[in-house]
Amino acid sequence: MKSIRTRLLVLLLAGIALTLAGGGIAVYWIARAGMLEQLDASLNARAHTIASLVAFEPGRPAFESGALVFDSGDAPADVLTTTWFELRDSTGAVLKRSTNLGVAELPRRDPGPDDIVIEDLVLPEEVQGRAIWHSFRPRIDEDLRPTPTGFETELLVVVAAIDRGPLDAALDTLLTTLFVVGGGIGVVTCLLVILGVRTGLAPLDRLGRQLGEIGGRTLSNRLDGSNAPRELTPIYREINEMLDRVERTLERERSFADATAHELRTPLAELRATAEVALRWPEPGRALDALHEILTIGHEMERLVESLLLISRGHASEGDQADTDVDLAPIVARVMEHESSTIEAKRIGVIVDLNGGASMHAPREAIEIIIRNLITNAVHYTPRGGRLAVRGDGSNGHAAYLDVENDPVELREEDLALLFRPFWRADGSRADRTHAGLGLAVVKQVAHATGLEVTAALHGKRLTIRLARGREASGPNGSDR
Amino acid sequence: MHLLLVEDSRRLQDSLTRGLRRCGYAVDVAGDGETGLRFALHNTYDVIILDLMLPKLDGGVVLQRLRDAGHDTHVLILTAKNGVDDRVHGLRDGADDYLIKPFSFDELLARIQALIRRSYRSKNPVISIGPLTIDTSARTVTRDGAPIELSRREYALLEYLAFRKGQIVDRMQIEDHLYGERDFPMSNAVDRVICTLRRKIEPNGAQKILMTRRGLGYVLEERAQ
Repeated sequence: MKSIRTRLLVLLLAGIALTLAGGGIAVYWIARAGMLEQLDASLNARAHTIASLVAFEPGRPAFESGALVFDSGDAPADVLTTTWFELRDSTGAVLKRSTNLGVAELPRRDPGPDDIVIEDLVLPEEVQGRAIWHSFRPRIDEDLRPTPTGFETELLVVVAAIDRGPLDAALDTLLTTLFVVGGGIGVVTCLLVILGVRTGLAPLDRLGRQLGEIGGRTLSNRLDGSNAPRELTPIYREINEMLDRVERTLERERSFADATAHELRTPLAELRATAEVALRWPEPGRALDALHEILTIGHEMERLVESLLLISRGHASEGDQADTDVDLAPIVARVMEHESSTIEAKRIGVIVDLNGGASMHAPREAIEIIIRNLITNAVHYTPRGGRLAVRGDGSNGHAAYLDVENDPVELREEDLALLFRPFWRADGSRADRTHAGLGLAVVKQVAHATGLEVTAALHGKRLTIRLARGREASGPNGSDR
Repeated sequence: MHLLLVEDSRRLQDSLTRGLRRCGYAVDVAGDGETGLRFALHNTYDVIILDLMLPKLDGGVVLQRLRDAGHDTHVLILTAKNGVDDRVHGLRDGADDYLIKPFSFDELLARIQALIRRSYRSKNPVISIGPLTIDTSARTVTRDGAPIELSRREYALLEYLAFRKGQIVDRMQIEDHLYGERDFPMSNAVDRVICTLRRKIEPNGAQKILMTRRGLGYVLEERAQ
């Protein structure tokens, strides 16, 4: 694809060339037409002048036939000396001719009465000329007036020609001038256009260069639009904002990948150390223990990978699942049943209050994943003797919410901002291998992908996580995250 | 040699402790940063193996407090943090080595051995004392080229004395380096190990190498005949 500069240059230069050529041609033709008109007017005047010299005057045998008189005494001298002319009668016979014609004859034309014909022609001695044929009736001498009724003089034709060399020379000069001046103007204009296009597009070049300098390692760089033209300012702003978004996304993905790699390193180290030590110092019974240990680590890694896949699937399936009215009570009951042994072992006090059967308008699978993770997470992090409450209100399906509360928790207000971050744990260590720290991250991701919102609030030692439709998710304490 | 392992993963604690003890090291284990710091401040260790992401007290803080308290025990950071910044930060904070999880047990062992050699300013893993040659890398002992079979504890004692050859080492120091925090040796345990070791490295009529300095301790040295 051609560059904008090339396109602009081609278009502008072609436009300028056409304009100059067109202008030149127009000027030339207008000037030529004007000059020809003047020449023709001059010719016409000469023809009329010559015609006015002819009179019907019986008794003065100036002409060979009839009583026509050619009185050149009144004519301006230059008309008769610089004009080639002939006078013909209606039969074409030459009555009078200028001496500069010599033996040559001018072509015959027969214009109608009081009509004229104008043509270019070659005069004696190869002179390029222009001639006018004018048909007229000679004036009647004053002595014959009043003329008898019905008397009419014979129709004559005067043909007058002049040298059109000065006109052609003037036109040649005009043409040369137009070529020279037009060419000069064209060259200067082209240079100005090239300079203008280059200068005008320089901000785009600068923008391109700045963009080219931004790569994976310099993604934090931003475009400097301080000297950019006003038209490009919005583009600079949009690109910078887009770079902000790209950087944030990449940073999030990079952090997630780092965290994932980091999370996988410890179980891998456990696997390797367990296997290496068991192989190097085999002991009766220990090999079996080591295999059990390896199997357990494998299960934990499997859970970790499944959680990661859930998050990844959440990313990929935004808007894919169909919303339906999901009854929350059976799902909560099922998860509670699944967690019952842990709840009993930790002597956790449980309250489930779903206001007679709450429902939520959302994809079923998403709701199940979210509730399972919320309750499992709460059970896991509730200490022995703590409390767990699941409350919901589904009186209005579209305004339904589900709160999962547990206490006591060792969290600070500032921890709420990190609660849904993958692999985040309150104590910062990875000692607890039974939980990968992905449960709430999965909840957040799946909820986001299905138009639901999760929010967290801390009331003293009680953590409340609320699940609701987007517009209802102002949070149990307004801490929308 | 006495090691401290500060690691919150129970499985790594178990595997590494078992492996290191099999290699003849006395190993103390701490599952969190606070316990690790307490052990490090109150006991003498040849090498501390320290995880960074620990409950209660971060490994980096443990290292800083240890150095602030003037302890120059060699510290090997064993962590899943693999970023260049993490490594640079750890080494600048006073760590002597940095190993990233997952790791090979052999590599961990080699790095521990290297740090121990550095502790005793010995670059050569092979220590010779008269006819006795101790290869601390291969963990083998020969006398006049003939291999000597030693128990883990005997080897640990011999290696400790060999690294400090020519220096008198008292019973308390030997106990510190041979037994872990949770070992409770009998009062004559050191004497018994010394006795069995002496029998193996000084067969009848052979040149004496392991000397007793009454009231002071023991020394491994080559005495002119």
